Order: sequence, then C-alpha cells, then structure tokens
Amino acid sequence: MTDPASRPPFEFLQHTADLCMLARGGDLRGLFRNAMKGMFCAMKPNVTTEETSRHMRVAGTDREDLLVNFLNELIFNAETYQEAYENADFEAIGDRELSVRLFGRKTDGFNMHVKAATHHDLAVRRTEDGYEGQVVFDI
Amino acid sequence: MQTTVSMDALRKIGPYLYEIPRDYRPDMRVPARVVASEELLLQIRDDRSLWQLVNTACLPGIERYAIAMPDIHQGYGFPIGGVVATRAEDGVVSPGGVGYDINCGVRLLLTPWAREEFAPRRDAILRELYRAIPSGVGKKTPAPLSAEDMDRVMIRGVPQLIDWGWGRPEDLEAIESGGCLDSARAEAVSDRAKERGRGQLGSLGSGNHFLEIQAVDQIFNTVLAARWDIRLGQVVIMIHTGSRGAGHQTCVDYVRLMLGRLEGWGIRLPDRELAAAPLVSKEAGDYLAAMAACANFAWANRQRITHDVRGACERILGAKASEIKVLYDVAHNIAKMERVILNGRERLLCVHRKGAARAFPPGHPELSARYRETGQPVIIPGSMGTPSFIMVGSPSVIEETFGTVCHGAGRRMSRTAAKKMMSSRDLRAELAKQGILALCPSKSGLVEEGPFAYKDVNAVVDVIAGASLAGKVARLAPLGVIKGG
Repeated sequence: MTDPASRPPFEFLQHTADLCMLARGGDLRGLFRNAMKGMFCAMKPNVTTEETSRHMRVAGTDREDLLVNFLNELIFNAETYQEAYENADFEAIGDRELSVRLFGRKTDGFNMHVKAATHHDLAVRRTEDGYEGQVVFDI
Repeated sequence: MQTTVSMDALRKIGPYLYEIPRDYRPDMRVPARVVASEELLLQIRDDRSLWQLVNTACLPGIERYAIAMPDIHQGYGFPIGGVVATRAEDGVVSPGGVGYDINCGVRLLLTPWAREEFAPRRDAILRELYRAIPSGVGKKTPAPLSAEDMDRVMIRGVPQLIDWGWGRPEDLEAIESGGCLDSARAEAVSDRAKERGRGQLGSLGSGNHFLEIQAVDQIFNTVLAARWDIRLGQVVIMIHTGSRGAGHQTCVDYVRLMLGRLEGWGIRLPDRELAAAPLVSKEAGDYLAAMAACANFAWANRQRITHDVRGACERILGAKASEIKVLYDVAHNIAKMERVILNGRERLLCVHRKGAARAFPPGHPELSARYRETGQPVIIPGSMGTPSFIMVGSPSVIEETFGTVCHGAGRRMSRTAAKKMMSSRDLRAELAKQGILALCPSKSGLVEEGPFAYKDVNAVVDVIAGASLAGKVARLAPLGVIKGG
C-alpha cells in the first residue's frame, strides 16, 4: 500500500487548551511515522547539524495504546536528550509492540512544549486508504 | 456519539450553581454541579467541558457530586476546573484528575516597593529576570541536580532548598502544606521521570507558565490587606509554573500502569484518560507517593525561582530586595488526602483538584499559624493584560466545594484560533499601550496566550464571590510579564 496522496499525512484539529492531531498512513508503519512527523512539526524543533539515531522498542495493550506509548517515548527523548526525529525505520510493528530505528538531529530547544500524548479521544481506525489515528497532546 | 450536554439538562439550584442530575446518564454515580453564571455557561455550551464533568461523576467512590468551577474549560479526561472527592474506603485516585503538570500552581511575592519608585527600573528588572530564569521549551538550568539531590528535593521539597540557602524559614508558613507533602517517596518516581526533570529546577517552562510583575490597584478588604501586609500601589510578583518534566513523565507512567490494571479491578470508565486505581491498592499508594514527590519538586521549583527573583531585584534595586516575602503559594493540579467535615461528620477523602485551587477558610486546622485565623490567601491569576486577584476562602467553601475555588480565567479559545486573532507584534503593541512590557521566547506562544483566548477573569471572580466561596481581598494590575512561550 502507498500513503494516500489526496489527504495530508497529518493535520491539527481545534481543541481549547491542547493539541489534537489526526495522522494518516497507508499502513501502520506509515501511520506511526506520520504521527511522529506531525508531532515534531508541532513542536517546531530548533535543529542543529548534528545527526542522531536511536533504537527503540515499545509495547502497548492495543494499537491505540501502542501509538500513545510510542509518541510518549519520543517526547521523553526530545526533552531529555534534545533530539527531534525526521524518519523512522520500523523493523517490526504489530498491534502490541514495535521495534524502530529513529533518525533525526540534535536540537537547541523546541518552540512548543508537548508534555505528553494522552489517551483522551484516542483512536486508530482503518480507512479505505490505510489507517488514521487521532491523538490529543497536553501542551 | 454524544459529547456535549444540552443546556436543558442543567437545573439552576442556586444564584450561581447549576446541577446535572444523577439520572442524566445511567453510569453517573452522583450529580454533576457547575459553579457559574448564565453568561459563563453559554461560553461552554458547544464544547465538551460538561460532558467531561459528567464522565468524572462516574468514578467509583465519588462523594456527593462532581464539581466544576466557573473557569471550566474542555480538557482531556477531567475538565480543567474540575473537582472530585473520592472516599478513602471505596474510592479511586485518578492521575488524570491531577493532570500531567503535577502541582502546577501559583505563588505571589510581596515587595517593599511602590509602583512609582519601581516604574523607572521595571524594564531593567524584567530583562534581568528574563536572563536569570530559564523560560521556554526544553530550557534547563545551568547546573542539573545530581541523582541524589533530585531525590532529596522530591522527598523534602522547600525545606531542602532552604537548607541549601535558597530561601528563608519564614517562607514555609506561606506555602500550601509547608512546601512538602511528607507522603512522598522518591522510589515511587521512575528513573526516567527524574532524568527528565533534574535539569529543570528553577525553570519557568512554557505554554501558559509565566512570571508577572503587578501592582495592587484596588483593595476590597482593608482589614485582611493590613493583616497580610498588602498596600495600595505595592509592587508584587506572581510566579506560575509546576513540576516540569518530572511531573509530566510521572503522570504518563501511572496512567499507563493503571490502564493495564483496570480490568482486574473491575473498573469501567467512559474515558481512558480517567484511568484510576482503588485507593486501597498498592498502585494508588505508589501513585500518591510519586505525585507527592513531584508536588514537592514543583514547590521547590517555585522556591528556586523566588530565590532568583530576590537576587535579580537585589542586583538592580539594591539591598531592599531582602524584604521580598512570600504571601502564599497554592497548587491547582493536585490530589490530597484530606479530612473533610461534611454535615458534621468527618470523612477521609481524596480531593482531586485539576485546574482548581484550595481555599481553606478561617480556623481550618491544616493552615499554618500565620493564616489559621484569617483563612489562606487564594491567588487567582488573570490573563495577559488583565487583572489578577487575591481572595480568601469563605466559611461555606468546605461544604460547598470541598474547600476549592477557581484557578484563573480559564481558556475559551483554541490556540489555533488565538493565533488568528492578532500578530505577536500587534499584541505587544496593545500591551505596551496599557503600559505592560511582555517578554517571551516564542512569538506564537505569546499570541496563543493572548487575553482574548481567556474568559473574563472579573466575571469568574465575581461568580466565586457571589457564590460565597471566597471573598475578594485585592486586585492586581499587570506591569510586565515573562511568558514561558
């Protein structure tokens, strides 16, 4: 499957105090990759020229929980190691666990702080083009 | 799928009190109440605040009713401005009822200067504070705490900082819980949460966090103002921040843990973000201990910033800066085990305050000696360019709202919509016309926090006073602000 060309890989919906993102992908890999890109797009990192790569394994009780846990791991890395990721190579991804190598760059801060990805209104749905996922971030 | 509550479902049961009855939805265990005016209710008619409030009325062991303050707005799980008290014997604790920013709260400092003598140095002070106190996303302090010192701060809170020379013993009497919950256990906090937070002690953070210089421009209660050393024209400094990354990660960790256990506990919830643990469970004990540790870090964070404020003021204004003192420091994202007298009977309750502040009245035994006779000051920040208020809890506040009032103005507009209202340059110009200097590391961050994005704080405070939950003591006008970004 290929990523749907007609609709954006991610977009942000209205939410009074926080950030609601809808991400899309032709498959689960694409969905999770675009969710990552969308989140970092919102965070607006001040990237440096120093490249970085990190391997990660994440588990969850279901696809939705896996998506939130994946994004929260990225937030932890961003805040603790000052890293922002531009691409993700999923070695394996299923309904309850994933293994991924992340590629990105070191940052000198971010322009928007994301505290966490929440379980509120969380959804991962199959669509005719693949998958879409909705996540609300606490900012 | 229904996600809003029709105004028809609300019954007015007091001048500023509305109730959604228990039979509105079959999974509600108690009614849901909103402290509000008709005008403020109309502002939330189309969002999900009230639906979220109804969801919290489904929590096991909830006592009396789920309550929302007049600054209520849509959050995730709990609405912001929500108060839920659960019984120790059969209730639950929900990290979502505290929020990701554990002990986000506000502190007010009283200075010895009058507005007129301060005004010529305002810009210099503000810029020195902006330089000295890290603000903005991911900003850390130059010297991160060691792992051992992080544990010390989490266990001891403000008293540890005073031992290190970053405060005075008299500061403790003016901080909720003396700046330390002794139920804290550092081992209940994950290493990841500590790692995320140990470089952030003394930092403002971002989003709606701020440091604001204000002047007392109206006194409503002259007796209390005199007792609390508040004078007309006095310059004060307000600090709004919380537990930073340590708190955020702790909430993430425990929501995840509890979600995995819900089925085993037989708990069904209408929203995953309400994930909760029975108060009698080990998991609840661990969460409360971890939450307390992060709350202690947040109080320590505001204490370290206070120390830096004193230092910055001394560098610009001289030795008189030693007279800067804490009026009060109150948390507005926290859950506390409190002995509450309801209908003459003492109950041990877990009181969740999410975007809501404690307002204990005169005589409350948990208050320090300094405030036991008068009741504690309650600090209600406005939004950029609008006034803030100092209030005091009224005798009826315990019975009515478990001793709780609003925490601020409450958002009424999404950040996306706010950014379309005006540019950061125009906003700075508008504030400058009012004589307010605004510093912020992020242009979009400033506009997202523009006053148009918030409810009218005067209307919110009038409802609190009209509902006899707290009385106004003084009003504070902004002079300059550092926004987190």
